[in-house]
Amino acid sequence: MKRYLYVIAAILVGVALVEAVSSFSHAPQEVRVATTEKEPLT
Amino acid sequence: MNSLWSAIRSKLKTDPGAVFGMLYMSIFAIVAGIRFYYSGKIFFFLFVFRDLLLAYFFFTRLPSYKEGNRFEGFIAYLSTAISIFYIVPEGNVAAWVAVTSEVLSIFGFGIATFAAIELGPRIGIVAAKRGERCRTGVYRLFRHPMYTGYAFAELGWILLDIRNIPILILSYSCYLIRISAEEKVLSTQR
Repeated sequence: MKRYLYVIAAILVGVALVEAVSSFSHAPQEVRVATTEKEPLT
Repeated sequence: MNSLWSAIRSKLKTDPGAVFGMLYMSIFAIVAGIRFYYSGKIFFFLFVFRDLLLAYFFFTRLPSYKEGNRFEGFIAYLSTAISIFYIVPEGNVAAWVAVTSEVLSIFGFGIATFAAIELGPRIGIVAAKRGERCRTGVYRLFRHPMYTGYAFAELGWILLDIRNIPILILSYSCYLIRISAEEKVLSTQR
C-alpha cells in the first residue's frame, strides 16, 4: 500500500515540477502568483 | 454511512484530536480541490492527495502514551496555522520569482508528503509518542522531514514578498520548539 502511495506522490511531484518549469518558457516577464501559502503546516 | 458516524462518535470519546485533525485536513483538501478545478494546476492536486491522506491518517492514528505540555501544544497549533499569515502579492511578480517560489513549494510539500506516507498513523500536531520512532523512508535522510519540507516551501514564499520575513522567522522558531518537544517526548521510554 505504502509503495503505491509513494508512486502516486512521486508522479504528482514530478508532473507539478515539470508543469512549473515549462510554464516559465512561455510566460510573460511578469505573472500573477498562484501560491500554496494557505496550506496547513502539520 | 451509519457505521462511519458511529466510528466518528466512538473516536470523539477516545481521541477527539483525531476527529478534529480529520475534519481540518478534509476542509483543506476541498479547498485545494477547488483551486485545482479552477487553475488546472497539478500542484494543487498534490495538496488534495496529501490532505486526504493526512485526514485518513489522523482518523486512524495510534493512541499516544506521552504528549508534550500545553505550551508546546499551543506552539504546534500556531505553527500549523501560520501559513495563513503569509502575504501574497496582489499585483504581478517577475516570472522567474513566481516559478522559483512554485518549485520550492512543490519540492518542500513533496518531502512533507513522503514524510506523511512514512509516518502514517503516528501522525499528530502536538508532539506525542505513538508507537516506535519513524526511521524509514525519507526519515533516513532527514530527522524531521515534514518541517524540512515546509521550511523549503516557506523560503519560496519570502521570495514572493519580502514582508514575509518576520513570519518566516516566527515559523522557523515554532519548528525549533516543536522539534525540541518531539525529541523530548520521543526519547522517553514507555
